[in-house]
Amino acid sequence: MNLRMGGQYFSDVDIPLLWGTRAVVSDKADRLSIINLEGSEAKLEILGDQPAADIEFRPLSGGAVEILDNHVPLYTFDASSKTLRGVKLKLPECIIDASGIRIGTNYFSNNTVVGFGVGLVVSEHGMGMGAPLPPNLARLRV
Amino acid sequence: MLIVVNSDVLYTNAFMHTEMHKNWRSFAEGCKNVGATLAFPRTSLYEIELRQKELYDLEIRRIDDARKLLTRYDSTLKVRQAADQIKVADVVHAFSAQGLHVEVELPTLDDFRDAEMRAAKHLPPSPPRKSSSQSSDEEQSDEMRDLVIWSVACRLARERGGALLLSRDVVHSGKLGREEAEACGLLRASDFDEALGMLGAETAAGQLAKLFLAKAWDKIIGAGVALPKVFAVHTIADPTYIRSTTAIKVATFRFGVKLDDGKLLTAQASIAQNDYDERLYDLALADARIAKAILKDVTVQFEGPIEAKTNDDYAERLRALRGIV
Repeated sequence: MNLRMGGQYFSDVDIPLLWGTRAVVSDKADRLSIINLEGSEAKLEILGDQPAADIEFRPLSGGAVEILDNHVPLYTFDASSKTLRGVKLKLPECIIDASGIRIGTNYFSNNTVVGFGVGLVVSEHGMGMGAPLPPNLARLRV
Repeated sequence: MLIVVNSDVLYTNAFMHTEMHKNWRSFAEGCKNVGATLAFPRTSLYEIELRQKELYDLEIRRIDDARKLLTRYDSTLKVRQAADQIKVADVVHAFSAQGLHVEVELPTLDDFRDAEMRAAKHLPPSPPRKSSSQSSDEEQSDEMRDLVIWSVACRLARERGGALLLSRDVVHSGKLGREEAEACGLLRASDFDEALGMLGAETAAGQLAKLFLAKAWDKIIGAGVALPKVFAVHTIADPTYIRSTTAIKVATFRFGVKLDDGKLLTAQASIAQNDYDERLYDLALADARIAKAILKDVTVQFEGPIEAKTNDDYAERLRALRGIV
């Protein structure tokens, strides 16, 4: 896919931003969708800034939502500040604003990523720009 | 929400070394989840610090005793070193380190004057003056301190548009202070669980749970549950939701209701959109109890509180995503 998201240009990538096992994609109206790629099938968790159908969630004060799995909070997503924050998922905080993507204390701005499986990859251990698709992830399909 | 903490809820017999007490930690976690701020009135903090110092001194004595015992048997263990490595627990820092915003609130001169007047004139929430046949020695000696904390809590509630006083003290939690607490927006909880439940009822997720309960209220009473006639929910805990493309289709939460006799009814609510008519919801109440008495499970059907949206909005967002992926 080709898209501009968080001040970066991703060209010919399969997943622009992979936060743990969650693909993060922005649509043309700058609304974020988060897709869980664990397991055999992709599962939509956030669709266009809102909790997707059939996903367990909890609204939080200030308009954010918490995504849960069997009553266990996994992460929070704040649509107004475009912020993902891990709860059970031990991942660095990720903020996607108009001019850049902040992951933990690192800020990515004005980069072009061409021809990689993943544009920006974030894990518990670190992050990188331009990486192959990790094994054992479901295909990104909605 | 601001939580004003009295010392009695943090009274402990265990010395806190490197790790925070488990129940304190889970309370801190719960407060953090709802964005609550802790406020320690300085008066309350003095008592907390006093208790922590007592526990520290006791721990030092234990270490010293252990050293003497081991020395008697010619042990080469360097026990004295352990005593150098412990210190009096800093409770404010311990809660801050959990990621909570913590404030220490100094009483103002007006707070002291207000407490002084309440104590001297036996105004609420202090107990009324006893009859002349009873000795003044029978009165609680710490009532002035409690009244200072009460004055601080009421002032903070007025200044911040509401607060929650977490205290087991009878002066703080009793009937005498109810009217004033309600007037200044001061909620009152006597333990961590009750406080978290009351905070939960004020969150966005708790408000949504209350919308569902309000619509089902009369039906629940009709099914034989002795709820008060006027809708009033005391606590909401662990609310979660699942939506369809048009509406909330599942809601689960635990709630508590103060009954007319002052007892607390708690129950687990499971709400699901009706399979045949999406305007209707089925509510199952399970594990309902009043103190130790367990009530029978109840199921009722009611009309939903929120009008379902059309599918268009969801479909449009899905189309926009599919246009990219």
